[in-house]
Amino acid sequence: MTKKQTEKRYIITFTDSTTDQNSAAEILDIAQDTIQDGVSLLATDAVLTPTDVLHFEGLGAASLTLSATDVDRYKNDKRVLAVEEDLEMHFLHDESEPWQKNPFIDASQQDLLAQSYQRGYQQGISDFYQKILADAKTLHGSAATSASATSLIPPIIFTSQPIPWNINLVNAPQAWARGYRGNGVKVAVLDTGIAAHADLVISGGVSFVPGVVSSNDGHGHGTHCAGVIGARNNTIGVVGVAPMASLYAVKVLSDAGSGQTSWILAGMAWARQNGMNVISMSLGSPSCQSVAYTNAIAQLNAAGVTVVCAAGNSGGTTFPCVGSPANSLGTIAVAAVDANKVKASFSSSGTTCCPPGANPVSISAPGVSINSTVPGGYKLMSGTSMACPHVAGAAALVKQRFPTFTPAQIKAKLMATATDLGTPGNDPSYGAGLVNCNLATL
Amino acid sequence: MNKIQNALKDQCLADLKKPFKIIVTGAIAPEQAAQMGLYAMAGLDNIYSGSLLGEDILAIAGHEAVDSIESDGEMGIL
Repeated sequence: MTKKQTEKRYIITFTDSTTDQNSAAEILDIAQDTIQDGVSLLATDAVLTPTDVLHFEGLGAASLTLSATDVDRYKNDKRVLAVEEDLEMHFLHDESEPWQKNPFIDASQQDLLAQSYQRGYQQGISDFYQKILADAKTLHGSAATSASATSLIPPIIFTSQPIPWNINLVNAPQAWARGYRGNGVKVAVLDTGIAAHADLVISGGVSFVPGVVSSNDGHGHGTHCAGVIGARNNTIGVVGVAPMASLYAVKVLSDAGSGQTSWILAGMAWARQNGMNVISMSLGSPSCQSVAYTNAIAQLNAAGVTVVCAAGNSGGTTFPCVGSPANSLGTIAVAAVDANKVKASFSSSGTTCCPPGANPVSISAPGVSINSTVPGGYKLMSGTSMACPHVAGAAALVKQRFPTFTPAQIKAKLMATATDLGTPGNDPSYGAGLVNCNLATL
Repeated sequence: MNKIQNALKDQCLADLKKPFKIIVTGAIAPEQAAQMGLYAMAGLDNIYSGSLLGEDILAIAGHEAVDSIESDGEMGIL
């Protein structure tokens, strides 16, 4: 009998329902980087391979391929509650499933079908898990007291995180499925501050607006950008490109949405001094390259800080160029595209810039009708401001994937893996094309 | 070499006694920066800020250590 015939996929249910991914790897005796988050992976159209090991956060279960010997070994492990053959996982391979992309329905209907399928799958897993627990309870019931039997059954909450179209467009879920969610990467949002929000975890903050001590956001712009970068992968609202990145609120713009260059430079200095890995600057002005910004950005780059800037919203005006500070060398200048991957009319481009040789558009990201966090809820906003944090989030994913990369290498990686748009190759409107988190983290 | 941003230079020439908020870059010695009325920006090397009269801005442009003088201009959300 061949190995292929003797190995099957199984669901292992851990005794402790709160077993996290790292603990699961330890119990399964496999390397931590070989285990993936099952819900994130199943949210994509990725095809499972026999070597994939999935962990289901909050469920206390894992799915993997085992030999008969492995099954016996795990069954005798006290940390394992049950080992059952997985009959559900193969549905994802089936190209004929109804939620697969259908050219005769629009994108929103496809999303609803996909979400419906995902809920159905989760319900199936729930039912299966309840059956496992019922069997286990029957097996151990005679020895267990009423109280211990109750504690054996943990509360199970099955949830579904809606994934915004813009997050799917940049292929972030595929990067999450391989474990790249921005863990351990510090991202500073230089903006109007970040407001407390149920969908955000703010790791720290500071204000450089004179007379304002708090880094709270009284405008909404900074909170919106923060959500695009790192809204949590939970049951509510939206999810960001790098949902596990550490967000820092650096308030350099007043609640009216403006600020002086000296405030912004002070925020950049703070980012340099406090070990930020990435800064996201959805701000600027339609002006020529600034010596001060170019100087400051060079210092941040040398300190390992990747600087991501909105290219500007002056497309179609008398100053259609990339504005300051995005036009300083050393930044990643981000243009905005819509859901059809077409450049937004307002998005600045790299033509006729001053001085000649100023930093052009580097890359593009979604920036039209982006739903994200604002104080007290969610809101659609448009602008290169919204495109910029997509790339800041992508930079965080790349930094996690390649921890030793310099800002220049991160920029090069993002540009080299972008999906080309517009004129073939780099062009003034789209730069290298649409940022692709999946390819950038391979 | 024109060290002063064009628009700022025009403003200074138009009103020598008016104060302007500026950002100055250059490898300026601390005591020299203090004499000029400039403050070093903590955390960034060779970048200074200050509020100087138009005539004083034109004067410090003559210092060899000064590379550029720009308006501490306003930026906004995009």
